[in-house]
Amino acid sequence: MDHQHATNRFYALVWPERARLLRVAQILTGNATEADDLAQETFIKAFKALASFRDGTDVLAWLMTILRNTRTDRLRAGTSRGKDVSLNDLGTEMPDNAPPGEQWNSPREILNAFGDQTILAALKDLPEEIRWTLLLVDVQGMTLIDAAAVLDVPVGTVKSRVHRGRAMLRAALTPLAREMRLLPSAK
Amino acid sequence: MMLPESDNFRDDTERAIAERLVKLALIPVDTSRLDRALLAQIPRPQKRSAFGSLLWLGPMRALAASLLIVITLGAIFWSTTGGSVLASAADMVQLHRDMLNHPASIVQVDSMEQASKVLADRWPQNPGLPEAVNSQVMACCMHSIKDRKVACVLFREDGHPVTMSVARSTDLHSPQSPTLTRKGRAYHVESSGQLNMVSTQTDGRWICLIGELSVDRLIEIAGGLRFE
Repeated sequence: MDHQHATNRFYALVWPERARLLRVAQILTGNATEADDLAQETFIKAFKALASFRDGTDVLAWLMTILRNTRTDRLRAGTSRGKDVSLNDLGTEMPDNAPPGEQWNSPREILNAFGDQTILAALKDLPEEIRWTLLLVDVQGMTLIDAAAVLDVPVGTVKSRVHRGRAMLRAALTPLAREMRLLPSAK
Repeated sequence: MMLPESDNFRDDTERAIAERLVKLALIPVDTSRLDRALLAQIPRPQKRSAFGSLLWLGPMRALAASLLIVITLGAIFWSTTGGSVLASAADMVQLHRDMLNHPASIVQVDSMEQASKVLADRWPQNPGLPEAVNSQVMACCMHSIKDRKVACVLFREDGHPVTMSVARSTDLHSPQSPTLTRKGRAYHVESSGQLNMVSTQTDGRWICLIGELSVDRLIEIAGGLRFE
């Protein structure tokens, strides 16, 4: 692929996705400058690898795979402030019969009372792999199959991480909900 | 709520958390720094000027090519001005308010089937309404947005009135607002005060839903609409 053709293809296919990719990078890193750097490196890699992208496939999923690999490389190289870089330490998935945790009586009202920054802060405290999974499945609306392809794990693993992540978010937000008197105080 | 189709939820709280996370996709982001960095490293291709590319032709051929360009541009202008027009958020908010506040201009109906019959009488060439919805259908009317006709139905969902507008996709298009993709379909999303609006295209139709429901709920309703 000549440079001119690659550039045209980049601006037609990849460029329109920069807001979505940058948003994911921001939620992942929790830092605007770091997110810009991560997104920039991802787009440069995407430009160089454009010949490998097959037309008709999902460009966002392709970009997310590059973003994930780039993020992993940066964490391993220590250029990102990863919280818990346990990329391979999450073998203990939540079993399907795990207890769901504390029930909330009016979950939508409680969650809508939290601003985006509160939700983002709670997300930021989750393990990297769990955060990735929630980002792809719940925020980006990817299917479990597509998310599994990006994360390079079986679909069952994605599914259990989704449940686990939501349960962890609930646990993280419960004290705040109590502080805001959205939930009764713990006995 | 529009959530991954293959997912399941262990309880209401888990579902609500998933619904809340969807909204993070609407957080605006500033891409200006990223844009500058990328443009510096991957410059946009230079567009060769139309006149410059004619220089290699002989004078007569250049004249003929110029005429062809003028005719083509004229055709494009004509087709553009005759093509779809923008349905802005302000247009849709006004339409929704008209539906709610001017009962004289709308017809009370109880079902989508009844609404289809009313619209067919008034506008035989209407784009057609979707098949029955689970919502409580209340009224319908024919409306105009910048001289383009739109079929409108007012229904109640989760206690809130929602206006659904249907036009041919060759007549109307959505503004360049943030887009959410769910199950492969793109939804333009806008907000105005308490009102949320989602619009999409399917089966050659442009559809817009507006009301005080969450964006996710509106997308879920829009995603469930089926046309014959």
